[in-house]
Order: sequence, then C-alpha cells, then structure tokens
Amino acid sequence: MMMQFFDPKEWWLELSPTAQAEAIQQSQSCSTPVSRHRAYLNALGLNAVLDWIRAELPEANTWLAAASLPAVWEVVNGAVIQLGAMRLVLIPTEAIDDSELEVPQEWVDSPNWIGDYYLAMQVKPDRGWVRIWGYTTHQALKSLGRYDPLGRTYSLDVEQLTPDLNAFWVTYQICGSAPTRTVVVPLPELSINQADQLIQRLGDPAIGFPRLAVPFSLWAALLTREDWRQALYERRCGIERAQPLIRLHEWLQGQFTAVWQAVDTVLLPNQVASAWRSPESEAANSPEYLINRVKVLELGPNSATGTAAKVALLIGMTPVSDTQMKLGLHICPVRENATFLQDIQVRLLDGKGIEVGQASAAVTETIQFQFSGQIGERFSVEVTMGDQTLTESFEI
Amino acid sequence: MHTRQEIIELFSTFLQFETDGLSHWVTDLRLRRNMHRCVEDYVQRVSMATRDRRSLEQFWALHWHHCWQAKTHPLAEGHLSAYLQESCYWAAQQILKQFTSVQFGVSDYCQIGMAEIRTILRGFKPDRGASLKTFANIAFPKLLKDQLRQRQEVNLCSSLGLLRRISKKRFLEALRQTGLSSAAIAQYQLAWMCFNTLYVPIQTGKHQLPTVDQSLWIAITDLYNTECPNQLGATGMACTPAIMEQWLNQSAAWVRAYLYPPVESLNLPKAGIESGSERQDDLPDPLQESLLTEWVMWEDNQARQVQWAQIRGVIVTALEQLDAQSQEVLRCYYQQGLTQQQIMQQLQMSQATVSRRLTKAREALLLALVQWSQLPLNSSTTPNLIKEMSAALEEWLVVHYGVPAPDFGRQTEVQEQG
Repeated sequence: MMMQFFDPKEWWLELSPTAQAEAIQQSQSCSTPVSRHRAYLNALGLNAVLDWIRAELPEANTWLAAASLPAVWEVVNGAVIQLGAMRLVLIPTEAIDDSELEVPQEWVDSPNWIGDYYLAMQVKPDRGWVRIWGYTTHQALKSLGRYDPLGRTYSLDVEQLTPDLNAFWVTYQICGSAPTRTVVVPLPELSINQADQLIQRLGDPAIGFPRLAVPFSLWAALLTREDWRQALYERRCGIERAQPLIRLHEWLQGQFTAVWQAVDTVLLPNQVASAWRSPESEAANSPEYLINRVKVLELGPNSATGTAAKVALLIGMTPVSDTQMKLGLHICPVRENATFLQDIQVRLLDGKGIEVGQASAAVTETIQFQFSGQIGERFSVEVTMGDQTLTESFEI
Repeated sequence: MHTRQEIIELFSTFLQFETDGLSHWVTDLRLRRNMHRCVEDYVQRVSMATRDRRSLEQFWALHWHHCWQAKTHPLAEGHLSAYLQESCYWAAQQILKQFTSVQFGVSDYCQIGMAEIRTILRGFKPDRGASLKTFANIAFPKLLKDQLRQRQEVNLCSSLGLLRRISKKRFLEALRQTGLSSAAIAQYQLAWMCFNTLYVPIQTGKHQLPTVDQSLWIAITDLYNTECPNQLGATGMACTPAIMEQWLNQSAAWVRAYLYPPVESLNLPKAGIESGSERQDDLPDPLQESLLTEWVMWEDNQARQVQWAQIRGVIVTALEQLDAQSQEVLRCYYQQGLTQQQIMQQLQMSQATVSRRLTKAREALLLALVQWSQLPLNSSTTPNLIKEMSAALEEWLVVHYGVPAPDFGRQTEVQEQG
C-alpha cells in the first residue's frame, strides 16, 4: 500500500522511524507550530535526498550546517544540497496535486541563495515517504515562472517541469556545466543600523509573515547574511543573546569586529580632536591613545518622547607594559545628532558587575572615563536613555 | 462485442457501458458523417491501393491531432476521443488489476481518463516518432494512477484538511472558476495563507490538527486583520471570525467540487450520439493539401525507419548489459505492469532495493541513449535534448516490452505498435 504508485522516473524515498525522530528533533528549535512543522518537512526531505544522492556521490553535502538550518526554516521553506559547485534547492510541500513547483522568491532573487536546479518534493510523513517528482532550473523559473506578489513566490506549471529524475541525473553526468542560472539584480547593502532595526521589527513573533512584511530587497539583504539571520531567528524565539565579550587585547593584533569602526568614519573631525579633552585638562596635555575605535549604539525610540538616538561609544587604549593597559572611554552624539541628549546615563561596572563609575550628561558636559587595568580583567559599560539600556562587555 | 476495424468506425464510435458490466460500441452520427466525407475526399486525392489499414489509421490520427492543435476543425477532439477509446479502456483495466479500489470500476476509470483527453492530446509530440496510440497507452495509465492517488488522499481528508493539501495553483483555479473578482480572490488567498499558518499539527511529527472551533477562527481572523493592510492595501477589508469560517469552508467546498468531482458528473468532451442539427456545410475543408503532402513524405521517410531500428538496437544492447536482477525488475514493471509491492513479493526484495534498482536501470538506459545520440556528429547534448530523450525512452520502452491488448471479453484485438 505504502508506495504502490511508485514510478521509476521519480525518487521515492522511505522515511524510517529513526529519520522521523531525527527530523522532529531538528525542528524543535523553531518558534511556532508552523515553523516547526516547516522545519520538520524540510529536515525529512533534506536528510532523505542527501542519503539517496550520497549512495552515488559521497561528497554531496548540505549547504548549511545543521545548527544553522532552523534560522532558515523559521521564516522560509526550502533546503539546499551542494554537489561540488552545483546547488540543488529542495522545495517540500504536502500538496497532493503535483500541479506546480512553487519556489519562495528568496531562493530565486538573492544572488548568494540561487540554486542551479530546483526539485519538487512531496512529503508524506504519515505514510513514511517523500517523492521527488520533477525539477527545473533557475533560468526556467526566471523566464517562464509566474510571480505571485502576494505570496512572493515563483511558480512553474507541471507541464514546464521535467517530470523525470533520470533525466536530472543524466544531465548532471553529461552536461553538468550547461548554463542553469540567470543573472539577478544585486541586493542592497544594509547598514548595521538598518539591519538591527529590521531584526527588532521582524523579530517580533507576532509578525505572522516576516518575509512579507518589508520590501523584498530589504528582507533578502537581511536574510541572506548569516549573522543577521541568526539574530532574527534568536529574537523570534525569544533567545537572549549572550553578550559577546569584546576582547581588547585582540585589537593590538589589528583584529576588530565590523561594528568597531575607525573613528573618522563615524565622528566629525572636531569631535575626534576633542574626544579626550576634559575641562580640567589643557589641549596640550590631553591624553592620546595608540588605538581608537568606535561603535554606534542605537537607542530605539524613547517610549515617552518618541525620539531615537544614536550615540558613539569611543574606546581608546595604549599598552603601558606587558600586563597593564591604559584605557579611555568616551560617549558622544553621532554626527547629525549634534545636540547631546540630556537624559543619557552611563555606568562603568567591574568584572563582578559592581559600579565603579557613573556619569550623566545632565551633570557633566561630556561623558568620559579614564582608567587602567590588567590584561584579562573585565569591565562593562551600561548606557541608559529613558527606559532603555544597552550593555557592552569587555575583557582587557 | 467486436473489436473495431474500419477506419470510419475507429474515429466515430464510443464504448458504452451497461449496468451488467458489458459494453458495446455506439456510433456518433455526426462524427461518422464527417469521417465518411473526409475519407471519400482522401480517396479521390491519394491512391488507396498503396495504403494499408494501419498506416491509414496513423494518418487520420495525425491529421486530427494536427487539426486539434491548430484549432481548425470543431470535430477533431471528438474524432480523437473516439479513436483513443481502446487505449483508455486498456489503461482502466490495468489500473483495476493493479489497485484494489472499492470506489471505482472500469467504466469509472474510463470516464476519468476520457475527461482528461486534452491532457493526453497536449502531451503528444508526433515528432518523437511514436504513434498517438502508443503515447496514449503510456499517458492514460499514468494519468489514472495520479487521479487515483489523489482521490484516495482526498477521501481521507476533512474538508479543511483538503485545503492544506492543495497547491496554490489549484486553489486559485478553483476560486476563479466561481467567477469571483480578482480583489475577492486576493482576500481568499490571504485568508488561506493565514489558515495555513495556524492550522498545522499541534505537535510536530504527529498528525493531529487543532480542533476547529471558535478560537481557531478568531486566531486566523486576527492574523488576517493584522496582515490585511500590508498585503492587500486599500482593497482589503477587515474580517470577522464568522466570515472567515464561511470563506474557508466555502473555499474547501469549491476546491473539492472543482478538482475531484464525483465521477458520474465528469464533463466529458465528447459522448453524444447525435448533436444538434445537421449543419455540415459550415465545416471547414476536411483535408489540407499541405498536410497531405507532408504525410506522404513522412511515411516514406526511410531515414526515420532506420533511426528507429538503431534506437531499438541501442536499448536492447543497453538492456543486455544490465545485471539480471535489474532486467527482471524492468520486465516486471514495464511488461507485466506490476506495482512495486508486487515486484517486492515476486522477487523477494526490499522496497528500497526495488525502487533503487528500477530507477537506476531506467537511468542506465537513458544514459546509453543519450550517449549514442552524441556519437555520429560528436554533437553537444543539451539538457533539453535529454528531457526529450527521456520522454521518448518511455515510448520506446512500451514498444519494446509490448502492451497487452485490451480484453473485451470473448474477442481480442491484435494491437500493433510503433
């Protein structure tokens, strides 16, 4: 009964109870019943097809590591298998009618997500099988596919697909280098702030269709970067991101993460010049640091005033000896937000979270700390505006 | 019941089923008159003596298919429906033999098959070399199997469950069929998207769906109303749980009625005995001179026959190179028409072995065929060519293994292939 409709032109793959249990496990880290169900269908299909292909091409692999997959399935349907440089996009569905292959736009219009081949896959977990019944190329999807603006998918009718997986395999062996892709428009580059804003907005689990909530190019630009996708996923799942520790001694080797930018890319020249000046110190003897880096902190709209603020957190450091470091910490507005926001408060905390310094713009004109510490010692900076607080943690 | 022999009969009579299961041929008079006229016209232009019945049959099949494609003759579909009666009947018998179904009998399958005649006619490519009948002998069983598979599923689905198992294309088609405006269809589509987001198994890996109650309708409605301004803009209006329930139940009913109507109510393109008044004069010229010339040339084409012989040779050689077990699996599937289950029992193999063997055996044949096609000119193979070859391989395999004649009871017809 199980596979009585088997056809040698299709791949009919059995799902063992172990495979099902594995897929259930893989799906549980998604946030809602529908995303868990999507992850489950994708995991079932991906594992089964990978096993089938590996029987002949042991080097076949999934595009993303297992740990990165829930972040994709949280928001979009589809999975990728890599055969060398060739990418197969598997599109699972529970539809019984084999009328079309419907591919989410993410897999078609994002330059680094494009596939060479797209495989139509029906998943039937309650009967214990998946069947791959047809395929097409990126070229065909782009040139013949119907675009649905409401669901943001490209669809190709069954008549336009190749309903024969023997042909797929023979094509792979005989003309593996035949052109399969069409060039697509590049996606915009998002700034870190744009990405953060999108993640905050779309990370709200109440948004039912995050992939449809903002224009496609913005969405795709966000989704196709792994760290942002991961952040979005974690936010939707309500996972508190462990604050990454900023290791300042790595700065001495020139290793900076992207958010810590060169000072002049963020601050105005006069801000740079006056950064370390304090009312007490004259221009001549204001301290200078060997390394200066700045990070833009975004304090989202204040619930009371409705205004958002961008502030720059500037860190300066100079090694005094092998074990000792001289440090400066300065907070100032970013470029256009020239007027300093009155209600900003900054606290400096030691490694145990005990306050060792405190400043607010309402009291002092500038917010600045200068201190020294041992290599390996930790401290953190807490910036508060209204009801929002951001914390950055460091290790010297 | 007798088997059909005469050309005019082949293109103008239909199988009629009686309640006791017996069947006989009924003539559609309009088709018969038209066929009669066309044959006379043909005889005047082409020397009849040089043509045997089989080649004549081929000619008329190609001729009506050509007219059907070009939409130049209103009766073309009727003639072809009449012509493919045996193919469909044979497929129905095959399916009945392979799958036990309390639901359908031979006549039901014949109805399902003939209702999809346009799918068959669209799929037929005369250039591949196989006859329309050979093609139909492959396409009908596939079509009936698909229908049976889907209808079995559908019968197990609740009405809302069916909405989760339908492609977007079919969902939208069912709605369009009702004459809804495009703005209304967009609302239904969004409602359906919201439904699909919330009506999913409560526990992953289990199949139990949420209880259909007021709280479900409220949840779907809330999501709909949140998404509506963003997705539908000015055309979307807020919905209430009561309306949502009505929309989705209505959609489910439409989908079922459109896609899987009761077999008795299938709308057959051609089944009438006599249709309307006799306005034969307005029929177009039955024969096109150019097609006639083309046909004569086509039929005399020696090169084509040589190529066919070569292809058969390639397939036979490739078959011989397969291991014995693979050959046996292919024979079971193509010649005896066994299901995977039956092959498993007959050859004492596991399911996984049967499916891999069959798939890989057919793949080896396709590979051999494609490699052979590259030989003469060392021509480069394109994915499209492989796709065409694969369709052709299926036709060649059926020719190679032969198709048993449909069993009409006492008499059997010797059916010629290729």
